[in-house]
Amino acid sequence: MHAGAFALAAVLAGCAPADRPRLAEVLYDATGDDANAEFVELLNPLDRAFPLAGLRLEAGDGANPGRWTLRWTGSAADSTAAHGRFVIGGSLVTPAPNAIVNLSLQNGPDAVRLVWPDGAIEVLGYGAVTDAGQFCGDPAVDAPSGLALARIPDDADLGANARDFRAAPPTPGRANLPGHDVAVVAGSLALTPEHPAEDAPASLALRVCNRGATAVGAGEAGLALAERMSGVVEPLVATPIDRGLAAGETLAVTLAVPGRDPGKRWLIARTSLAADENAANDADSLLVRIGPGPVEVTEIQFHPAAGEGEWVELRGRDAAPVEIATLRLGDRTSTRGAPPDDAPSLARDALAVLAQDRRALLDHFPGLDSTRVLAVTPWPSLNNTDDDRGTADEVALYEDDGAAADRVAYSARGVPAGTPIERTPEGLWRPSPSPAGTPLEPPRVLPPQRRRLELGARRIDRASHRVRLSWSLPWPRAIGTLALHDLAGRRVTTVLDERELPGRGDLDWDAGTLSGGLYVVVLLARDPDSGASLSATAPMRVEGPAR
Amino acid sequence: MKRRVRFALVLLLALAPAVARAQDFASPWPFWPPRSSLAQLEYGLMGPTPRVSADAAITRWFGLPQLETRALALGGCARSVAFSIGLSQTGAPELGWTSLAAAVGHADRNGGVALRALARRDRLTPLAFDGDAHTAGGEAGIGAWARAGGTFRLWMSAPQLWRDGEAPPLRRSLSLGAVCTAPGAAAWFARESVVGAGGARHGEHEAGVTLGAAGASLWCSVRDRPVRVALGVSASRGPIDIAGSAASHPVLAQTSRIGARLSGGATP
Repeated sequence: MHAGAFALAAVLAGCAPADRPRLAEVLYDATGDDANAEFVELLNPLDRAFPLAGLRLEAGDGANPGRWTLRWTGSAADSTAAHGRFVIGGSLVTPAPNAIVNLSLQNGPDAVRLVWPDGAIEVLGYGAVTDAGQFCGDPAVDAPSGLALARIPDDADLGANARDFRAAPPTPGRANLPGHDVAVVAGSLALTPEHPAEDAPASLALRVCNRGATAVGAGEAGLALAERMSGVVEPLVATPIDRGLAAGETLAVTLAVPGRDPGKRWLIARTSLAADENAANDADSLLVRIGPGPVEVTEIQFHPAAGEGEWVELRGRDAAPVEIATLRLGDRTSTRGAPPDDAPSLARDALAVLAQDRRALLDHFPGLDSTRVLAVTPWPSLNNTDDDRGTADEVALYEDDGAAADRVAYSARGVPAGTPIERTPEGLWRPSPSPAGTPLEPPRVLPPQRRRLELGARRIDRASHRVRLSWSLPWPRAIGTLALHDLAGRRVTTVLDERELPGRGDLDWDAGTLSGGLYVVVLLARDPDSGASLSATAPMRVEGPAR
Repeated sequence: MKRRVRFALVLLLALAPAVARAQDFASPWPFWPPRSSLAQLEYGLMGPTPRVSADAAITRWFGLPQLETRALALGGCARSVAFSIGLSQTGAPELGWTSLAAAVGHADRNGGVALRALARRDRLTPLAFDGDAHTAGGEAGIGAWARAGGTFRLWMSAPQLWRDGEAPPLRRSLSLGAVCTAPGAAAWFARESVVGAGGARHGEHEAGVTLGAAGASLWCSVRDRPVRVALGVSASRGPIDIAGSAASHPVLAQTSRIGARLSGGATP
């Protein structure tokens, strides 16, 4: 019979030729490098073994209609067992394929086809293929990277690639839709709180899914939690899943985690089901830390106003020095920034600053120890405005094994523009009392202040020429400005342009540019909410000759 | 004639109370008239009829209690030479300073000229002169005026022509002014050169009017950059003269001054 007649018959009856093995799964875009990681799986639906000698696996180029290139040819030794699967794939495919070959399949829109020695053809097109010879019925979806195109259910043959195949996790050598399969949804584990205190209980949330074709009754499946620390696995909790799961249904589960000793460990959640056909997806794990991490975030500048760039201050908490170069800085996205390889270590209670623009930050704060200011590349840009849940962004520090050393979700609400937030000694977060922040300085607790405006010294020494200006306002934040006037009432200079200020704050100001004389510092502030305003003044004597 | 002269002098007493920023010997009286020893010490301006007087004044700057000036001055004359000496103390310890000043000059009805000199030293304790040596400073300057025809007079004051040592609390440059009087009223205008931050120079201007009668006067002045308004009153009876003034500021609290004077000798 003519090959074209076979193809027509296949379309009318279904895409897969009858009485022979068919395409069951194709992975053409593996996660990462595709080389030797791609595979094509065949399924023999017959009750007898079927030889594959002479069978040709060809790849079609979606950009060049009619162009097919040979990827593999079955030898006399190749055969599929009754109801068995035959995997043709690269050496990195696990379990090892029946035929190892680097397929070099192209990402969609493209196609693969089986050409049998008797002329029968089965074609699978994926993506926006336009050549009618490169798909059957309608082409299947273009599977995202890391997912395979799988025939689901395994015996589907509905006359179109789009109806027979869907994107699914790769299952080489196994059923695409097993009869019985309860899985832990990968990546669904979350511990609350993220860093439980020593011996404090916590809860682990996760999702389980019935990925089989058969419903699971209440109590048939179970869930067990264990921890692995220093290579030792210790069971923690085991409980039946007391609710039935329909095929394809997902269930959110929360497990109580008893108090643990401090340190990092893996929490492993594992489902159990009699006759489960896929053990590979039964478990998932989460690296967690009990107790504080080796470093903590102590100050965050997420909305710089003077061109100094964003920065994050961190403090060492471990008795052993922490290698800053091994840390990674992240936000809510997947961006992970790395300090330079030659970054110094961080001793206990020592501070370091991770900077978006190290040069600009050092220019803005010329007194900083430059060896403690480290550029991070790429910088995870921090958001300035809150989302619907009242969170602007989060700053996370990760260790080299991926464990979160510290994570801070912050809100930008109420934080004066340009002012960083800092962690108080009590562990709370607040706007820095210094409008520009205090990088490489521990958080200060400003004592109550009797007057609205006070100076660190009323007489400014001609050698240091520095003065601390501190204020205490009756509002949590205000719009304010600080200026200097001379004895004639003339405005001599502006210490702080109008901006948002914390209600209680201070700044260290360099009066070195001033001529000697007597000045009056003036604070003007208003409450942006009520509109109330006030002014406060304090005299200041600057030593030195006239200029 | 005698009453007209007295009336004119009363008006002149109220002229230009805020012209040329004062510091050590600021007073609620105007700097021009002959009886003000404080004005001689502060601006180097000597009135047409100097005589023996004792002046005392208190200034509270911008409503700040820790920034208060207390000044005492004595004036006299020998033949055609007039002189004044004075002592003032400003501010709380650590912030403040003590000043000793003297002025000498000559004046008659057509004009006058005087030299002023002042030594200043910061202080660390109340009523002391105990600041570090490097906080000592001095300044000297000159003031002069002349009749320009009829009731029109021109004047100038350069109180800090020479400076040395610690900077003065307020840097003061050349002031130029003119005053025109009429029965029961006077108007005046002045311009002062100001050195701003970074050395940039600009001019400040002040204008005022005075209304008065024998023994009492009321005056008002307006100054620019920033706009500042001052009001003052003075009253005299026999040898005693008292005065008070208040100057507003758009940002700072008001500066208030009070003063009393005891004068002797013939009334001009």
